[in-house]
Amino acid sequence: MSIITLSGIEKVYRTKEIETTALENVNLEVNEGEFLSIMGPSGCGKSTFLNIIGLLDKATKGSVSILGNDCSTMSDRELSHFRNANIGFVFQSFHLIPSLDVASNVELPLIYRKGISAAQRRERIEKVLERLDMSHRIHHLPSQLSGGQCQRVAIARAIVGRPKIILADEPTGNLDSKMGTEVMAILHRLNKEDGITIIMVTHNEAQALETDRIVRFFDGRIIG
Amino acid sequence: MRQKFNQIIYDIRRQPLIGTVTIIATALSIFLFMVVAITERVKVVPFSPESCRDNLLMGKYLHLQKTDETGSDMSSGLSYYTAKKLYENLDGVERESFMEPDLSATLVKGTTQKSFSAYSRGVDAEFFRIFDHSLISGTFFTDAESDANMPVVVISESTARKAFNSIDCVGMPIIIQHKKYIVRGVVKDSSRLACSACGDIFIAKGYHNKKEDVFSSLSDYFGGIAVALLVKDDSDFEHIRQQVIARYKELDTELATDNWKSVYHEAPFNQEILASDNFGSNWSPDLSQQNRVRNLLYGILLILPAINLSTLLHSRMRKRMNEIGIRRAFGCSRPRIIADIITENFLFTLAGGIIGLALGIIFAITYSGLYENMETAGQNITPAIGAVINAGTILIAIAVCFILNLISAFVPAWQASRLNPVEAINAK
Amino acid sequence: MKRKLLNQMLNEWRPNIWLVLELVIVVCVLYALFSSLYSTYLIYNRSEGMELNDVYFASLNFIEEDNENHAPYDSIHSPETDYALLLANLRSNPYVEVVGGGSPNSLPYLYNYWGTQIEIPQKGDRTRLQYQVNKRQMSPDMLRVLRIHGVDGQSPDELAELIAKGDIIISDRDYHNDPSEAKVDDFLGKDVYFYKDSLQTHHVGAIAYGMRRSDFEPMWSGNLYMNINFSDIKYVGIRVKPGTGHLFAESLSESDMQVGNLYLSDLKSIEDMRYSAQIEKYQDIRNKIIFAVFVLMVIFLGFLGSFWFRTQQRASEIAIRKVSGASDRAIYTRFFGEGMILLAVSIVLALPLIYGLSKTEMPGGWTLDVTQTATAGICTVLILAILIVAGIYAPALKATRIDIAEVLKNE
Repeated sequence: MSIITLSGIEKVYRTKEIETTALENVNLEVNEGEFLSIMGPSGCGKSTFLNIIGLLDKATKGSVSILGNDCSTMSDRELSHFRNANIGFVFQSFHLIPSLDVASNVELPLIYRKGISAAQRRERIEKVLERLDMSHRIHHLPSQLSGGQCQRVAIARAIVGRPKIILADEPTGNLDSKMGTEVMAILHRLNKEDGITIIMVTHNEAQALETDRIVRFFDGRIIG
Repeated sequence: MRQKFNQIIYDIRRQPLIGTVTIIATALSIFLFMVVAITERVKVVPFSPESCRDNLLMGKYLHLQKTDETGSDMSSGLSYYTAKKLYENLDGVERESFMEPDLSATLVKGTTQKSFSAYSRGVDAEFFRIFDHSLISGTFFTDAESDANMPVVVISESTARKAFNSIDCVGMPIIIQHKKYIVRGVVKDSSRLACSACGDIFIAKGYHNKKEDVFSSLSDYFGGIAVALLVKDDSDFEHIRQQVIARYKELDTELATDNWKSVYHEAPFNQEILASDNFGSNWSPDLSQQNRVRNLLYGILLILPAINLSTLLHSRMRKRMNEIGIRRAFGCSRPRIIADIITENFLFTLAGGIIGLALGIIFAITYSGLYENMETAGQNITPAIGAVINAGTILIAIAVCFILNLISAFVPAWQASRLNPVEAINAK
Repeated sequence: MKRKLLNQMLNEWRPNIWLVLELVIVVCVLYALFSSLYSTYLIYNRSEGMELNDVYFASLNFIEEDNENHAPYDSIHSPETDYALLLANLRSNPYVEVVGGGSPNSLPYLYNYWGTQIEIPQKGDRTRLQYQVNKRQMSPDMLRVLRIHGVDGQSPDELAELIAKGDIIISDRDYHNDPSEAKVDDFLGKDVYFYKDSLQTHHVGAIAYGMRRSDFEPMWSGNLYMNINFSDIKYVGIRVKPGTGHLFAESLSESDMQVGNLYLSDLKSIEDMRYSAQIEKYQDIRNKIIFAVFVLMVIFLGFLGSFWFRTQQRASEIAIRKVSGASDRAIYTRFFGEGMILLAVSIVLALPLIYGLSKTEMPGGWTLDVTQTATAGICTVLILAILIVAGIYAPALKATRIDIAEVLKNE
């Protein structure tokens, strides 16, 4: 069953002098529980595409439907709530908040969700950190963690809100091969055990081949 | 909240100069604001012996004009006759005291060698029932003694020590302006900031002669008397003013026989008007100019630092663009971003505010130069601690912090909320 | 370089706009404060024409008949004899130079005002030359106590002799806003009468310098000095030898202060009286200076914080400039140049407001002329420029010390 449907997506960046087409007539359907890789050379529009799926950016043309909801017409507040409830993000540079400890970083999505008490938030954080083997660093700052540990915390943050979709933008790009393998294993586990749909942008062919499907981009279009 | 507090500490550690400048700028603004506010409040907030300030009205002057072509004009203090005619037995007034409004410099001698200068005030017995002087020894004089103008006085503790080297001087003679009086009681020293009630020596002074309600001489209407009115708690000042206006009209009937009429100038005055010193015997109080200047001053004291702090906050937010982008990505709405930044900045403002308030209070308590005026120049006058540190002062400080925070943080917070999440996440 | 700097600043107009807004407000506030202080200084600095130091005043009191301490008079003793003896006792004090008596209006630094008009009697069409004066009744010796001089060089002794023989002496005022108003010179040597008292004329013997109620207040009307009747004397003025004031005060005994039923009280030096009369003006000046300092501190902190952040943001730009050969001086010049451009823009934007302010009557009613306005304006700009440079100095210094390799490596 289709969980994400993108139709006729176009993204054009306009300034006073220049017009850049980042995406042109992109159509894609992603099934529930699928682990999808997106590949392509630098500047081909992969990250732009991921941002549109993640509702962080709006397409110039086309429609985005996620979980049966037409997201093209949502207001900013509706998009925020929808993202918080259904989408988790994992970034290449981890993007942990340096002034917050591990627990507070992981807690971030839950703070913006109504109906969860502080005790419930605490319970979820501890569970998810235990699952990712990061309980012993719960009060550490990001500056006190290794790259792999940072990415595990970022993944914990992405899943603590129990989203249906995770968007990962080159999650192993800043990690060595050993840590990268660990992170990929975590993502696969989440996909298989929890049924989370994962869309991953990657340059790593080997990692991409382990996923269910590869979508290749070139000059803003899907070519395969 | 703990999260926000930790973030502030982290912020200051990471950008110590900008954090320090922010706190200093806030502290400076709050310090000056509070010094001005405290100096203004000390003039109106109740403290002993003027604990009755909220319920106090003072009738001070009379202004008369000729209704014929001579156009003569005369204004001065009240005589006992006019004071009683205008202010005695008003509805809503609990007590009235007929007293000298200003202190007089007098030569005093007790049993010690040298005579010395002190400030005296002629008052009746009701004066001590309106103003709460603390008696150390003896008693206040009675109504009978003040009505009869008997030579009795109540003196302050420091006067007693200068005149007698002791406060055990009740019943002893004291020479004031070469006239002998008997000490009835000794009271605690009063601050010169209690302008209506303060004094070193209180001389029994009263009046009970009856004058006919017909015009005989202009001098019957003028003198050096004022009236202190203690208003009942639930009474309306305006109701009392209306009664006084009606009394002025009655007075005019009497004055008309010699072609005089009274000119009303918003009497009696409340503490706010008395504190402004913006009134006279022949002109009405007008606080609008003073209020305008004061509000302009407050405005500048808030807006200038607010612009500064806004720029500094903007700088601090630019360092945290990435964080804002992440928060937006994980579902934080724009209004929530604005609220979070304003709340977090309020803690910053509060830190500067506490420093500024503490400095302001210390300054207000110790620097008597804030309160000197023509009458008190050169004297060491500082206010009672209760007049400076009270719930009102703290509330004003918190309100100023809040307003300063709102003005300075809103625009940067709004700008931060409008950031494109993608650009913010990728910002360096 | 300046044009490129200007272009760069225009490209970064957003952060600059707040600084400019702040500066516009500060320029106007500082100009208002400086012009007010300057006008106060101009009033304060005008020539006195009298010597108001080493002088004491005491109030003269009378023990009334109903006072048990009253000593009844006889055919020899009277209040006048008491007064004469009191003054003689004071004159015999080794520290005293001269003693005089006067009404409350005869004292400087007192806010009493006894206004009247002097008029030159006219025949025919009934129009009169009128001149507003503050009446100051004093004994001839009081002129010597205060050392009041005539505008034509007359000494206090000469002026004292004039009022002793019954003449009056008048002074000019500080304002001549209305050209149709009578000038003080029109009355010299004339016989005048007081407002509504046409029965008696008074000869104007000289024009002297006027006594001000405050060093910070211009004279709104002229002064009139005239002899006093004994019954009107309420104050005694005493000039002591230079620097002996405290010795004089300590040397006075109780008997020096009283003769018969007359006694002196509340002895005050003119310095104390000046301080009391002018305390509120001193406070006003103090408050203005504090406010100016506050405003300058705000600017200093604002530029310090802003430019510190800019140094961080432009670290790579500065590194590239240094790599391309920019000297430390060039870096400083760029930073300070940016600050001065912001100041210049603010001044241009503030000019209409400053023009309006310059037309406002100063407290005390003194309006600055063009030169004085320009002086106040230049002071404002100079002080602001200094504070801005001071605020930018630390960030500029930091910029010159950037580790080029470190910055470019991070990039």
